[in-house]
Amino acid sequence: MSTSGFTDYAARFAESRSAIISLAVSLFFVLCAIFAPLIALTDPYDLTQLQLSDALKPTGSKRMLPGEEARATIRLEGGKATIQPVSPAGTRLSLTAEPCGANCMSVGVRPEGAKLANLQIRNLPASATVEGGKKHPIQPWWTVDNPEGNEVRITSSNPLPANATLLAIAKSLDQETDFVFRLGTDNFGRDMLSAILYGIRISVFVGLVAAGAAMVIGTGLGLLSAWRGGLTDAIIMRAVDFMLGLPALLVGLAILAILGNGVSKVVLAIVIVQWSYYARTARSFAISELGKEYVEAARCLRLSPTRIMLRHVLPNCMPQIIVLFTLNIAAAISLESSLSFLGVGLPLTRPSLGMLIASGYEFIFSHKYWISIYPGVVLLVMIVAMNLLGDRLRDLNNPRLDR
Amino acid sequence: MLSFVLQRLLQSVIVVLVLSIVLFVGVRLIGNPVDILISSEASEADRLAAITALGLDKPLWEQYLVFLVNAVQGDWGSSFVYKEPVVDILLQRLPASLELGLIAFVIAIGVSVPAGLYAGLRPQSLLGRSIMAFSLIGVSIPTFWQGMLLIVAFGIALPILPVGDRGQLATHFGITSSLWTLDGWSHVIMPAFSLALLKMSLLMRVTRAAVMEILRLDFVKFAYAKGVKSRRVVIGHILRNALVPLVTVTGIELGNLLAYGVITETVFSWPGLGKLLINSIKVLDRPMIVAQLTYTALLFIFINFIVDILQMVIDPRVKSVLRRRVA
Amino acid sequence: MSEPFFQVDGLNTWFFTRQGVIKSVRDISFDLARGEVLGIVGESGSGKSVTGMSVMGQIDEPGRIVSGSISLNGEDLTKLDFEAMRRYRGRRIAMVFQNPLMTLNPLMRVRDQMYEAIEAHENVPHKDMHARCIEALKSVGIPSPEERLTAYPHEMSGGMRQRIVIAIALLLGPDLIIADEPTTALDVTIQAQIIYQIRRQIDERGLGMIWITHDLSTLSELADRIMVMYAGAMMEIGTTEEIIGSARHPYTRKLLDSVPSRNAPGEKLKQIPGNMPSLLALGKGCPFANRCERVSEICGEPVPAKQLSGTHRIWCYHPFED
Repeated sequence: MSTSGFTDYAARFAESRSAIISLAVSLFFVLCAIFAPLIALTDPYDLTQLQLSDALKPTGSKRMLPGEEARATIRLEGGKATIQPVSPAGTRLSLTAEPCGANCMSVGVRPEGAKLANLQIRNLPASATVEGGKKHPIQPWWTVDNPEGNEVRITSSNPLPANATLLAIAKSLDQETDFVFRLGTDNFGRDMLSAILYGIRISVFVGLVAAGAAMVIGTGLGLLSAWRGGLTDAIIMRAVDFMLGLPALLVGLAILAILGNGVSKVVLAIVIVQWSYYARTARSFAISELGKEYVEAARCLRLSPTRIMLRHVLPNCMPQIIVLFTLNIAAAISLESSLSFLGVGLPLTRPSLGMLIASGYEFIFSHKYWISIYPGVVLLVMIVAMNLLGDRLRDLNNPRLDR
Repeated sequence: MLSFVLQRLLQSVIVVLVLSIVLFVGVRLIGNPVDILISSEASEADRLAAITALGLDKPLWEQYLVFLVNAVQGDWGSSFVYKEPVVDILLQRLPASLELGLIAFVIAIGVSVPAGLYAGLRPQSLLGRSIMAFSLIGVSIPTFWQGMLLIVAFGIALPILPVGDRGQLATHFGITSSLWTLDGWSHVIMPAFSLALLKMSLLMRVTRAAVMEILRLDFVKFAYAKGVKSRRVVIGHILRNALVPLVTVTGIELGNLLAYGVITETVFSWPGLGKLLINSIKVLDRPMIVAQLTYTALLFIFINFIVDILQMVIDPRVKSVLRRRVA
Repeated sequence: MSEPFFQVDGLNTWFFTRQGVIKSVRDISFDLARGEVLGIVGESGSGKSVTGMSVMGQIDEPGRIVSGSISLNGEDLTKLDFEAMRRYRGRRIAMVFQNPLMTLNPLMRVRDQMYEAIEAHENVPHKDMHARCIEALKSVGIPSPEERLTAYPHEMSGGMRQRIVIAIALLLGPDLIIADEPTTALDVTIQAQIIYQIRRQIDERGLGMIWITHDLSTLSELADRIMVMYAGAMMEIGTTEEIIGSARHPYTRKLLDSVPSRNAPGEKLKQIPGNMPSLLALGKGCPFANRCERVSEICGEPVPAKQLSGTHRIWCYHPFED
């Protein structure tokens, strides 16, 4: 196609406003797919980042930093206290203990600004009490909620025993972080926005690769069929009829039932389903092209068949093939999501849009709609855009419709 | 006509045979059924005994022949999971699926043909454009998601329809169906609509395109020029000719309707064949998978056959093409 | 010749598209007497077919008749509503289309397509309809009409199908038949036969006919009068002798020169250089000016009609002086 031919084509394409919008939307999704790791604020595949306390949070809630627990043993020996932390490594809270006069000891928490839920002192002798604290009904445990200044004082009517070991447990409050789940979280506590971006990445990847591979294989077989004719043609076309007669979803289901799930297997299943459309279209257009004089001329020049087919016949089939490609990307994305929904498509750890919707299915009954709704909307917009684009391209190829 | 039927029958038998071989070999690839059937603590001797009992020690082609002979006699083996003959289980589940598919089909045709006809006759009108927009969404929206939206809207947000299962059954004229009871209808209507939506939208587009194509043809202008009333031109000429492509597409889509039953039945927990197939695949219930896929293929071939016959009834040109080919 | 029973006066049919207003037919006026054939000749896009469809009242959206009157036996057809117009179509005015392969519904038997035409206007028992159909088929020279009635269109040749279409047009005894290139798609020998049959029916029944074509040579054998159209406007109208023998309009002359049989053997066929102007961007002057050798400044002004004789009229500032 010459430059002016292309400009003309583009100008006619641009006459339809919906075509331009759908092209822009499609490109937007492709960009989302490419740059998902840069745009997404979290990595939904990193299972270590997930925490159950974030699960099923509605739209706009903030990520919580879960409260910590710091433990330390306080050994009293002759009026002196030695403190021994027993918290797991990495705990930010730490405890201090200092005598505050006779029969008194204060237990504090570092860092100073930490917001405490409570501070508990265990194994106190019967004579001792914790100021402002409540005793456990049975155990000798004293708990102070929201201790003032993060400090509690243990006082005793008798001197504190010379040899005793106390256990201090400080619990900090759950803390809000600045991170907002703009589209809520799923049942694993995944940020839906990030998950959707990565889901777009997978869906677009599967759609493009599967439809592209099917296009190359199908068009190739269609051209071969048209060129060779005879037995080759008969065999390929019987296979095409056979495939076209079966519903795509069932074929995909059967293949994945045999192969098991995974991205490459889904792609393979879609290619097996879709190649036949290209083969049929390419063959019929190639046959009508082969009947034209210029092909006759090329044959007389003893150009090689590959050259004639690829340089002369193929370019004339391309407009129809591209229409099919556009529509088949939409079909591939839709098929992948359906298969994933049925649980035979992609693995749970790398959710596609279909998988995200599926995982939200059980929660719609408890009114937690966001897990399924948002990925569904994205999926719908993506497929509508591709379909509109394909429709417009098809109309352009059919001059009778384009008035 | 007769030779045409015979020819089609022969073709169908070949297709089914090819398909059964593909499935038979394909399913062997999934895994050894003995590993599923007998417990892991069984001795090696028990294992070998089981293999011999199941005939798995014989060469693959011999296994296939045994399977084929049995299948023709109606013995499709027993389900690994339910421990019952596969055929019995299928027959048990069949009515639910047929019911759902039938209602969906009626909804799809009943809505799409009038809507597509209108949109084709008045493409610029507001209603015509709305019908097209609806059908664009309809062909694009994934079936499972659309089903969930319906559940959210009519099952949860304004709970006017029940979700899941077939509801109350009743038996009249020897047919047990949920369609005899009001409760049954309230259960079937939402999944049926969900299943119908995709086909409805597709058929709307096909009808509209066919109508617009036919409207341009001279015989429609000639019919008007004869003074024939509009209603009669639309029904007798436009719709009648639109039926030719419509019947072909409807045949293909009826097959797809059955396939998409798998999704709809999963979303709406409908106790039909589709849900059974998914469950069988998940637990690798091999005889169930083979039987169901073969049964579906048979159904497909049967539908195609009916479509061919219908084509001949509608379009006299098809018949004369066939006559020439036979002569 | 008798008094005209059919008059078109100042007809304008325009199409209101997104790109602009396409003025397909502009200020067309003519009349027709019983037993007379008026030929309308012009290139494709000259508005000749639109004129025919305007008379039938079958202009589709986004087109409509903007002004002018079309009167049949004194009744203005442009004033009729859809139902009243429907009663005229097929009964008083019939139409024959260009491509006989497309004019009949492929899925209906010939009989049903004929019955349908009668049932649209009259309530007649089947037996009578049958007799009338047989008679109509015979009148256009169809052999074994009984068999044809139960046949489907695809079982017959193009010529046979066009005869059936003409039989359907004649079925209800119309006053006027509009034929839009009815023989263009047929073999020359079949053309001649059909033209002979049609001429006979016109003379026998005394009906009027408008014969639309781009082929002047057919008209010279058949038409009583000829109207020449270009870019939606009338160029010249007169009796067949006046147009074929002594055309005065430069466009008519060019048209005549491009007819193969009028060129000497071995001589190169004459073409008219240039293209018809876009109907979207017409000036107020003569539409042929840009291709005319005799063009002058005044051709940009609206062209008045010149009455050359009782029957011969012309729209040109610089006509040939014979």
